[in-house]
Amino acid sequence: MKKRLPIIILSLLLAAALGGCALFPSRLHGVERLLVVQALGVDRVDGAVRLSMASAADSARGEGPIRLSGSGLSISDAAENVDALATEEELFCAHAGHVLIGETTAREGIGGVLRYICRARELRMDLPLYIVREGSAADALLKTGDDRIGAVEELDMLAATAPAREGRRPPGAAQIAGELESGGCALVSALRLVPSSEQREEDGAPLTLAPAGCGVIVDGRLAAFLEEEDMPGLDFLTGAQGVHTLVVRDREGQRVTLRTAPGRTRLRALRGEDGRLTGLELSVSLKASVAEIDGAGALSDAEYCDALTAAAEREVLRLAGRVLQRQKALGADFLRLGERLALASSAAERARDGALRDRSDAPEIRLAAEVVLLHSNDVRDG
Amino acid sequence: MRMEISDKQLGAAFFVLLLSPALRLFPSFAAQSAGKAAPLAALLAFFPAAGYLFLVLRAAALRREGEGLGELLLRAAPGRGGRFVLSLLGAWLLVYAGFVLRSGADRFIVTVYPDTPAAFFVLTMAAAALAAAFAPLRGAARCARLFLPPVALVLALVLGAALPRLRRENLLPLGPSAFGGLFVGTLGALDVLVWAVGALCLLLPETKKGAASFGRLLRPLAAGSLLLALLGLCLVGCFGAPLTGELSWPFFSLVRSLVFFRSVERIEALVVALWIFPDFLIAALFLRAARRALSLTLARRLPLLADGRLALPLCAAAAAAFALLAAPDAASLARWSRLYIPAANLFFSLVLVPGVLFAGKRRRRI
Repeated sequence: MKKRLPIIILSLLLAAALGGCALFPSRLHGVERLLVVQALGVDRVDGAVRLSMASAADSARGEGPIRLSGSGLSISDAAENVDALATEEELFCAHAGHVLIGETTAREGIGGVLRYICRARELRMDLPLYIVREGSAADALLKTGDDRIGAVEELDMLAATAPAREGRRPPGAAQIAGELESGGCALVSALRLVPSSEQREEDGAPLTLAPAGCGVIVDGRLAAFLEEEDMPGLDFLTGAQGVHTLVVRDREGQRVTLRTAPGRTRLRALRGEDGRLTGLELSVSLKASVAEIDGAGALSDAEYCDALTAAAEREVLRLAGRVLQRQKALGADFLRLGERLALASSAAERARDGALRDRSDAPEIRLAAEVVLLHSNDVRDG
Repeated sequence: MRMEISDKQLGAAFFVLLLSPALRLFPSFAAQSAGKAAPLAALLAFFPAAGYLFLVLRAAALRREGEGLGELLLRAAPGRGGRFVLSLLGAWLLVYAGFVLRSGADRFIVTVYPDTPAAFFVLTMAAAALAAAFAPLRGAARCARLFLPPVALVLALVLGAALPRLRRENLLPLGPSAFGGLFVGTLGALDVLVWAVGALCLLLPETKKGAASFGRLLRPLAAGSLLLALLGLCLVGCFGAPLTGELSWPFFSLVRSLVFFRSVERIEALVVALWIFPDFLIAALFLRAARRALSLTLARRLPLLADGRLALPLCAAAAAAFALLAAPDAASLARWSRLYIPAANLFFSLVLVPGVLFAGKRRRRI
C-alpha cells in the first residue's frame, strides 16, 4: 500500500486536471452563467464586421429572447466585443444552430464566414447558412418577433419544415464549402424579413422570417437568387423529395389544386452513335393527389384524368424549365448536372465528356415529366 | 508465476496503438493525395502491411527467450555498427514519444482548450507515461485490453452516425485523377500500419512464445485497415476530399458536427479525452523501449542509463523537452507530423532495422 499511495495520489491529481476540474485557474464558468447563443448573424459594414446574436426565449424562467450585437475588425473580434458588452452572462456559442448573412455581405463573398465556421471550435461545421434578402443579418436577428418569441424560434421552425417544403435541409457550411471547392457554385437558403400574418390591434403585426428562395453562390459570391416560386422546380430537377402544391386547370377550365408526394428524378446522357455526348435528359416522376377542385370534377372519367395529368405534367415542365433557364443564364451548374452526369457515366464516357462546366458546346437538356394521380382525398368527384 | 503477454493482448495493443496515428496522419493526408479514393488507399495498404507483418514475425522468431528487438539487433550486428543502429533506434523512440506528447497536446488545444499552453498537456502526459513506464510491459498490454472496448465503442458510434450523412458525389465517381494519387495515399496508410506493427515489436520481450503468430495478428491488422478505410469513407463522404485535406483533425471536426438521437451533440471533448489512452500507451511503451535500447548501447559509457530508476525519468525529460522545443508552434508541428515523422518511420521500419536483421541472418549471426 505504501508503494501504491503516491501512484494513487498522482493518478487522482492527473485525472482531476485532465477532466477539466477547477484545479487551475480557468475561464470556464458554471452553466447557469452561460447565455446560450442559438443564432449568429454576420454583416460587413464599411470594412468592419457586425456580429449579431440571438437566443431563444426561456419560457421556464419567463424570459423573452435575448438579442445582442457588436462590431469588430473580424468575426472573432466582434464576438469578443459583444461578450465584453454583455451585461451579465458569458456567451456560449457551442449550440448555435443557424448562421445568417446579410445580402450585401453575401455579394461581397461568403468565403470568410465559411472559413470561420470550419475553423471555430465553438461552432458545428454543418451549421445551416441563410442569406437575408434585401436586408441585413442584424435586422433579421434583432427585429424579428417580439418580447415572447424571436428569430431563433422562427429559424428552428423554418429548418424543421424545409425538408417537406423544399425537399432538402438548408445546406450547412461544410456542404457549401465542399460544393464551392468541387463545382465552383452552391445554393444557400434565403430568408426575408416580413410582417407576420398575426393581426394585433395595438402595435401592428410583428416582423417574422419567411423563406425567400435561395441564393446562388458562384466563386464564393452571391450571384443571383432563385425565387420561392422556383423552389418546386429546383426540387423537381434535383431529387423531387419535397411536397409541393401545383395549381392547374382541368379540361373544363376549372382550377384544380394538386399536392405532390416525394418522387424521383433521373438523369440520362444522350449520346450519338460515336458515343459523343449530345444532350441530357432529365425525367421527373411524381405522384400527386387532388387537394381542391374549383367546381365539380370527374375523376372517374379516364379522359378527364388524362387531361388533368397532362396539365400537371405541363406545370412540372414549366416550373423545372424556368430553373434550367436560370442556370443557363447564370452559367453556373448549381443543379450539379456535371457531377450527376459523371455518376451516371462509365469511366470511358467520363474521359470523353470532360467537365461539363468547361465545355464550350453546352449539351442540349431535355425535360420529361410523369405525374400519376393517386387519390382525391376521400371525395368521389364524379 | 510469470505472466506473459497473450495473443489477445497483443491484438488489442496493435489496434489501440494504431488509433493515434490513424486520426492524426491518415485522413487528411489520404484525402489530399488520393482524393475520393482515400478509402481504397487504406484497403490497398493492407496487402503490403500483411507482408511486412509476416517478415517481422519471421525475424521475431529468431529471438531467444526474453530477448527484445534491441538484443536481436545487437546479435545481428555485434560491433560498433550494431550499437550505433540501436542508439539511433533509441533516439528515434524518444523523438516519437516526444512527438506523441506534443501532438496529443495539439489535439486538445485545437479542439477543446484553445488558449492553453502545450506545456501543460505535455508535462501532464509525460508524468503519467513515466509512472506507467516503470511497470512491466505486460501492464501496458493489459491496459490496451482495457482501453479497447470504450475506444472501439466510440469509434463505432461516431462512424455509424456519420454513415447516413455521406454524400455520394463526394465519393464517386473515381476518375483517373483520383487513381493518380492512390499510390501516395496508400503510402500514408502503409505508414500507419507499418508503424503499429513496428510498435508491437517493443512488446516482444514479455510476449508469450507463439502468441505473436501471423494468423493471430492478421485479424487486428485487417481491422486496422478497415478502420482506416472507414475513416476515409466517412470523412471524405461527409466533407469532401478538398475540405478533409485542409482540416488538421477532420475526425474531431466530424464529431463536432454530429447529433446523436436528435438530442446529444457536442461530445467532441469527451471523444478527444478518450484519445489520451492510445497516446498514454504509446508514450509509456516508447519511453520504456528507448530506455532499454539506450541502456544496452550506452550503459558502459553512461552508467546512469543502466539504472532504470534514473534512466526512465531522464528519457521522459528528453521526450518532453523535444515535444516543447522541436514543435513550438502549429506550423512546425504540421511539418513534423506530415513530413519528418512519417519519413523517419518508414526509414526505420522498412530500411534500417530490416536491413541490419537481414545482414545478420545472412552472416548466420541470428
